[in-house]
Amino acid sequence: MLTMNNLSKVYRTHLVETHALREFSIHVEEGEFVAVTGPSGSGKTTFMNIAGLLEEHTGGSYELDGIEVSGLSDRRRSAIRNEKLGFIFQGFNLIPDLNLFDNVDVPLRYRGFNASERRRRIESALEQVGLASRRRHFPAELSGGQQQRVAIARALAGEPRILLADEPTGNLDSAMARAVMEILEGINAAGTTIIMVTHDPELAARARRNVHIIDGQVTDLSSSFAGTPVGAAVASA
Amino acid sequence: MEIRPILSTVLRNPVGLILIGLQVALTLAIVVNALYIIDERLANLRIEAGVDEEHILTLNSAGFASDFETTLATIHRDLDYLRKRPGVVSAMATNTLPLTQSGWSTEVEAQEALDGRSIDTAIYFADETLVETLGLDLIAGRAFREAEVEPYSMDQELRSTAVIVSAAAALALYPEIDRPEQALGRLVWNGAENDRFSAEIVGIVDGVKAPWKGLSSDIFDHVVYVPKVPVIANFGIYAVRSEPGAFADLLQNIQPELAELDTQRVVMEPNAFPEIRERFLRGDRAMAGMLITVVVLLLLVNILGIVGLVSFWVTQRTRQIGTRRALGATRGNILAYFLVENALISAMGVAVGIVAALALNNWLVSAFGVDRLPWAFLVGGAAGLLVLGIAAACVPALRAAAIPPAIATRSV
Repeated sequence: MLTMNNLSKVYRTHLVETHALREFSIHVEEGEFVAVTGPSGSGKTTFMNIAGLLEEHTGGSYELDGIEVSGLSDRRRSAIRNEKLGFIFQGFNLIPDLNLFDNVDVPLRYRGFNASERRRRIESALEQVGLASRRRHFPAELSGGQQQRVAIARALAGEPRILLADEPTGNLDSAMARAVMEILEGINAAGTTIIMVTHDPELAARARRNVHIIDGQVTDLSSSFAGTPVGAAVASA
Repeated sequence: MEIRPILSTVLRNPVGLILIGLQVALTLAIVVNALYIIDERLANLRIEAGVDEEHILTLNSAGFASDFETTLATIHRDLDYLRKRPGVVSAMATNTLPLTQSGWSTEVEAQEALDGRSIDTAIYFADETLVETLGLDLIAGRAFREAEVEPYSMDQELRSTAVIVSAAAALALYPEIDRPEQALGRLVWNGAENDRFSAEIVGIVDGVKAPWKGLSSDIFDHVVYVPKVPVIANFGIYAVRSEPGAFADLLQNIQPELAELDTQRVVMEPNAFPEIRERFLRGDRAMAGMLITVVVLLLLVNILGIVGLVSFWVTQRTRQIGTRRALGATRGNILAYFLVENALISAMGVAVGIVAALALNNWLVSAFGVDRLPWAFLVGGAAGLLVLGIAAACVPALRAAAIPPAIATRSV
């Protein structure tokens, strides 16, 4: 599903060169729930950005769902993000001037679905997170947990192959965080691959596999997934 | 195209809508009316007086001695000198010339009864040399005969047996005719209710203008020449037409020469017709220049306003744009979003602006006698302002399109 091999990411200014990821190799199988942990500045967000095609890597290779994404055009990367990936952000990133229905509709419009197909998917996604009755409400009228559920619905509506969650519970209290985590577990149980960056060891422990990043490198892997360990997968790739 | 959600966003943030919408509306209302007035004024600059403009000058004289009085003999002596002078094609005494902004006018009727067809018209005095002196385009009939020309003093009625009229005056006076030549032989009536008199149209001239433009009538094209020599108090006005190449010499020397003929009067500096024309157009030129400045400034303010507000929105929505990009929007989608948003706001402004432009035009029509605004100006102005609005939004919209999707995961 997702394979990065000897991937690197270097940020350059005229004064400084920062190696955010170095010789970064990872393989994620379809259906996995991977928690990515690591201290601040370790490269977690850079990994998520590159995995989500939000940034380009500097070196190495990255294959997503059978497509080598290195050197793809911006338009093609946008299309892949739209069709294969779903995003959940720490700050929810809902559009404040759109109601819940229209917020979930945003990626579907870019996908080019017709109105009835979009309506079906939006209603189904909002139903799935328990917010169908509030579809005409605006984000400011919801609690943080509800807003994150809308963001999950937005990510789910496009039926992505991989859900990328960047600190999805970072702005929530523990009760809301647990509720969101339960929804994510349910989604994963239904077959969607999830990669989740988190600082919370309790949440990380609930994932089926843990990846630890330090100084831009995968330094510690613990796996409870019944598949091939990451290091072995990379080695055999 | 996501028009409905964009519209929803616009309506939820009415400040931008009001600011840009009102700005566009006011700009449209003022610019469209100003452009129409500019167009009219620029059209004025192309006006032709209907005379040989390059070779005509006027000479005015005024007696200063207490017992000086202009007589027919004085005028004949002056004309005799002028007509014989080398470089002069012809000369005549008159009351005024086209575009001088000073002259005589009256109302003439197509029939004896006062309540029938009538027009306002300028009245010029002329003698048998009219066509030759002014270089008029006589399209039908004949010039005045010497026997028809009579002296005129202010204590007399303006009666004559023959008149020469402009083609526009003939068509306006007799709406039933198709061609101005058909007015030849018809009678033009004038005078008070109990003292009516008429003159036969003996000639039709084309293109000659009145001394001034009327505010609301077509008097500018209505001209009636009467065969009169003005013998009025101590004044004299002569129109002189030079031969090609002799105009500068005439302009320089004719005044002292004429002054020498009679030391009891002052002969003013001659007025070259191009100067008369320039003075006539000065107001139009100044008005057009001022309005063009206003239009340019307004459009500039409009462009800067749109660039400023859209730039502000782009900055304010940086995270939102990154999120849209993360969710699959292409750079083109982001560009289109801001252009459509601006086009919607501009379109609402234009709709209000059209109403405002019509209201402003109504006021200008009633207050200043300006013509009604043609639809072409309104439609063209509205379309132009829309295009300008979209073009102005392009710069910040392109900046928005360049925002990377990774912004979605950053704290901004």
